[in-house]
Amino acid sequence: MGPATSPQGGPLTRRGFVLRLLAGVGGVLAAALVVPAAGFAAGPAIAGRLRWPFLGGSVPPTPRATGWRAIGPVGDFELGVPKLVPVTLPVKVEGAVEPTQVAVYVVEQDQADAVILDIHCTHMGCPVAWSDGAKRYLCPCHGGAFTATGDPVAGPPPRPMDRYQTQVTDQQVWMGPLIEPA
Amino acid sequence: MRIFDWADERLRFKPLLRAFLDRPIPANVGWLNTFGSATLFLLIVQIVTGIALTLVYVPAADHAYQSVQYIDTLPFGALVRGIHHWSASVLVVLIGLHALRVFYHAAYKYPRELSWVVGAILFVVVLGFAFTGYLLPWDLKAYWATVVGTNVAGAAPFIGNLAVQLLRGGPAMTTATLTRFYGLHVWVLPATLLLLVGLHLFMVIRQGIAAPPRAVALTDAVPGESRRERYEREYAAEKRSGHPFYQALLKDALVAAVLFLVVLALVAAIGVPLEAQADPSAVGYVPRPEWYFLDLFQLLWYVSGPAEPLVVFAIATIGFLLFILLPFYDRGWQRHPRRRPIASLAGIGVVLAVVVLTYQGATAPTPTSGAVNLAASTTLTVGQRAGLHVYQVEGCGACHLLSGSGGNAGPELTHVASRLSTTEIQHQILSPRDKMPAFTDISPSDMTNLLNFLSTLH
Repeated sequence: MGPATSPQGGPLTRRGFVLRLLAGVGGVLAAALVVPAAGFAAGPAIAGRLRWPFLGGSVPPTPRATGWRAIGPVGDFELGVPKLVPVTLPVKVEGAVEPTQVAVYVVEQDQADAVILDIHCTHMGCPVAWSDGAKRYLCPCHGGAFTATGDPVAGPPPRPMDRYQTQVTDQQVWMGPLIEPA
Repeated sequence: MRIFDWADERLRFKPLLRAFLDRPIPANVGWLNTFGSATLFLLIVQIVTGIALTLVYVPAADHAYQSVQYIDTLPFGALVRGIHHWSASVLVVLIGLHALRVFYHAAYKYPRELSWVVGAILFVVVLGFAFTGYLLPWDLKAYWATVVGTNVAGAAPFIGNLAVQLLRGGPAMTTATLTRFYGLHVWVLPATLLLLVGLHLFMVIRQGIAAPPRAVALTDAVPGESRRERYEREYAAEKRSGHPFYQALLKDALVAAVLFLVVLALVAAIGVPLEAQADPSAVGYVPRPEWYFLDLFQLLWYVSGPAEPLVVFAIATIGFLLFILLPFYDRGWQRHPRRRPIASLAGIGVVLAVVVLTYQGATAPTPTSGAVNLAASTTLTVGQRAGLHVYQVEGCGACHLLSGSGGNAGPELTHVASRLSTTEIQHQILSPRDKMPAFTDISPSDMTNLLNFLSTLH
């Protein structure tokens, strides 16, 4: 702060001093109120992993869960043909664990390998549907299309479909957590 | 009346009331000027019905949908929810018309630049209400439109991921998202709205209603006068030839009444929409936003490629800044639409773009199972008919439009035979040049029939 002067350039009056003091006290009180309130509001959002990409992108809206779950014997799946499988996940949200039903595409690669894909288009998150005829996942929103293993082939999707960690052991397909887009 | 006089004898509010109701306003203020008060009226309708709805609605994902269904069974429940739903749509129309009127009259120019800025922010706040409001019923439309809407925010460089997670309350769409949107919809946005509406009205009353522009000014210019003096000289002449404000209120009241009847008619004719309960695994559902976001939804068709998020972000940011900062780059003295042709043409261009994009969004094709509706007059041979069957079984319609049905990932095939020869079509099916998958497992006889069918499409 420079030397104490009034707005007119003269010496600081009692009035000017009181008004400045009020502005200062008001500013401090406002900050003391807004900082915890805003921080609290942002808290649950930024508690998880945050990325700071130059090129932004969609975030799969699927409820997240940790741990592994068996989603069926290998024999249930046809080689290279996606199958829509409903999965109930224990989703931790706002202090409670809620069983939440999601769906995933399971594609068997061979007897010992499978791919589990999130159903959301990587463009804007609409649910893609497998078309047996076109042999593509087709997005109902902006014409995106993906191959059976989730590679984008048409339309605006910028990245392959998001995958879950997957394991095949003892003829059983296991689904792990969603692999967050890089 | 005696209570009124008793209170006035103490509070002396009659002079205030007289200053408010009897102040002169410019003579040409007319029906177009009712859009602002109509917007205010609809905001009040939203606040009253919204407060009523909070008394029953439950903002939690496991219960929200059922509570909305329950509201519809209560006395006046469907009516109150219907008014809230439909007057939101009418409000978006009216705030748009109000902004257009202000643009048409160039009322955002000196000295009312700040009224425009506050009004433009209010426009965005109203869209924020619409966006947060339609998640609350937690039906399919709500859920998927919010998935898309929050992902649009993800397009921002560096802070995209943060923006999505701030909106959703984490990376996923869960009950946390619903609770957040509820908090925004009933506390954060209304508080912002009331503050800004208060500011907006204060400015309107302090400065007076802008006079509709005249091709020829009422008074003659005085050499050497300042901008303020020039403005005050002309506005004083407008007020001298004008009429008292309470007369304009008659038009405002009539428009408000008509709009309320329109809202009631929409509730009666269409009812209150509610789709099936939100389902994160709803493969096959076709997400479409409310009509007022269809233009933005459709815009996403026209940008693709690796830089798409940047382009989306740039369009949104530049559009917002051009809108909100209009008075600071369009600063000419002229206010009559014919005296500012560039601004008038730009305004018409924006309106046309919004109308066309909304129409295209409303009629956008979606991938289909492959069903094709050919014109009734189409006559096909047995072979061609078999080819049509192959077309449907192979799912060609998932990507290609044919006679008005099908997807639009690939080119339209309605007139494919006038573009490509049969050999070229066959070559494209078996070894495609571009992103189309190769259909090599079609049997020779099926292929012959399919080509026979496609070659009829001139």
